[in-house]
Amino acid sequence: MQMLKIAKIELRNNIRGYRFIGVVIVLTLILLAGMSFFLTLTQMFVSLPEIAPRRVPKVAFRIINSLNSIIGMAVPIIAIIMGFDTISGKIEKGITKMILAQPVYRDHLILGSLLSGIITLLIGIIPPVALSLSIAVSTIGITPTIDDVLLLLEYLIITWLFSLSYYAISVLISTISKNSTKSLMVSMIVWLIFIFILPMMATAVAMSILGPPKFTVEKRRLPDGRVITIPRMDIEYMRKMSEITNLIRLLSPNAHFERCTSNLIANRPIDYTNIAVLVLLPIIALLISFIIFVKREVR
Amino acid sequence: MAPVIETHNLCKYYRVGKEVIKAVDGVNLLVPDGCIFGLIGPNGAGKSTLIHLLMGIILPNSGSGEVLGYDIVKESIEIRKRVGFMPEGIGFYTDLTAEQNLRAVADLIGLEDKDKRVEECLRTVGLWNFKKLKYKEMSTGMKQRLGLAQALLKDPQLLILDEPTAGIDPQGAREFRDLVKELYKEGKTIFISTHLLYEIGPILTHIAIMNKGRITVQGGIDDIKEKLLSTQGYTYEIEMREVKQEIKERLSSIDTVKEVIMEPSKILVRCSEPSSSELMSALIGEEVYSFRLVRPSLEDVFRAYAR
Repeated sequence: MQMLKIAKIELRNNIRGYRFIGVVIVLTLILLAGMSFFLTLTQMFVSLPEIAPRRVPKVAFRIINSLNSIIGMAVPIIAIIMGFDTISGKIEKGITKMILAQPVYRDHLILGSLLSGIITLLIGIIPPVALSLSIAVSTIGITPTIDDVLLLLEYLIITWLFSLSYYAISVLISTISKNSTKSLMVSMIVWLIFIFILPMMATAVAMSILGPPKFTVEKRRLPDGRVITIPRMDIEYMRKMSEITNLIRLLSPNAHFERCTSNLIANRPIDYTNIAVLVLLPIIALLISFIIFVKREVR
Repeated sequence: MAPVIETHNLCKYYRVGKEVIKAVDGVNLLVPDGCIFGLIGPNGAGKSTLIHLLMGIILPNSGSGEVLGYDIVKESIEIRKRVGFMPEGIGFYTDLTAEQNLRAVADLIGLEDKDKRVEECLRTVGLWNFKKLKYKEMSTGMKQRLGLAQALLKDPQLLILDEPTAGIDPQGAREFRDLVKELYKEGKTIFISTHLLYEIGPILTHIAIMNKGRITVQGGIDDIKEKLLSTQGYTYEIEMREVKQEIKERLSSIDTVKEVIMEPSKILVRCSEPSSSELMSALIGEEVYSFRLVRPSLEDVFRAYAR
């Protein structure tokens, strides 16, 4: 199988590169830094039981809670760094020409590249996460339960699917652009849109539909007898606003990732629609990349 | 002897916006076995496109072709199994060593005696001592030699090298030329595309000149030079002690002489056909130091046919 041979060669090349090693180190450091919040919280519950909540959250919930915002930001960047030159880099470096000089079909070449990229991503994300978790667990001295392990595993799978979405988007951009610098720039712009611009746009769109926010005034008496007025946004307005913004934000893989993880943290069942989106988005993007690459001719 | 490459009216067009570019336009190419064949043409002449067609990497719009008897459309994988091809701008995996990269290619080809072949090829191109060097740490010349090594892995009867000396220094180009000569002596047919006449020209036995997607002339170098002589005329260079007006008049009176150019110590005589005996007769009694037919250089051939 030429595809598997190519995947094997590229995997070997990927994991020996400075980029991969750098990404693993940076991700590990980020996760370890994130873990400090979990450690502080846990230490507080242990040393001051009187202020701990009645039901201390499971170890897994606390870990996910501590890491979630960092992962939501860092994982897309790592996926983009891994994927932005998957096709364009090979064309620029002449690797595509070298492989096509051998008895290899174009579809085997791209499938091998994509497979190696997906495995590299898995290898790049799992060890830092596993290392930071094990450091956290061994530092606190808490043995996680089976439930904790399963929850963390579930979280890892969702994170991997989330990273795949960004990987597939950057591969698609790299296939279309044929230029790695351009591909990296466009991928980063897409990331900025999903992370910052789309949520802001969603609010702007919601406000343009609903009109300016409506407020009610709530009067509250203070212990010293003074009465203060607190402005409160109309609850119905807030609900509609939230509905519209959430709907728009669903265009971004981040929204689906956040929904999945917030359900996990809140111990609610996962909505499989979000999982389906995180599975389908990479499949569709990689399929389009495949078709473009196979149809394109080397000149 | 059967040709190793043969094409019939091969065409490849590209659409760029509204314009249709004829990259390869009705090419009939014939490359005999056991030669060093140079496909010569300026940048953008369509040489690389033609080679990609021959290797079955791209498909023609019309026409047909065979390489080693295999159809370039239906049997491209068979061609790539047998032909050693070094594309222009070839690259390898940057974080793998020369040896690892060659082993990877050997894997793709499906070689059985991988270790032996990789070693042989690295030795042939002079990279055995650098086998542990990562590709990204190699010089341009070394990278080109690794490109040649991957083409040699199959121990092919036919080698196709696309602009093999582009970007390497004169010393590297000379070493490359020597290597190609060695391979030719081993009995391989070598097909080289280039626009750098002065680097590859001296080792070629056959050429085809390509421009604007068309082959303007092809064949053995001597035959082509002869053809050029017959179409452009024969120029004789006569060195003598004293160049006199009287000699010019005598030479001009010969029927086949078209032009006589006088220089301080020599005369150039352009004739419509071989006229050495007539010229010599006209020079009897003069003190002539040398008399020779000026044969066109490869550059003259290129200049004449790359229009």
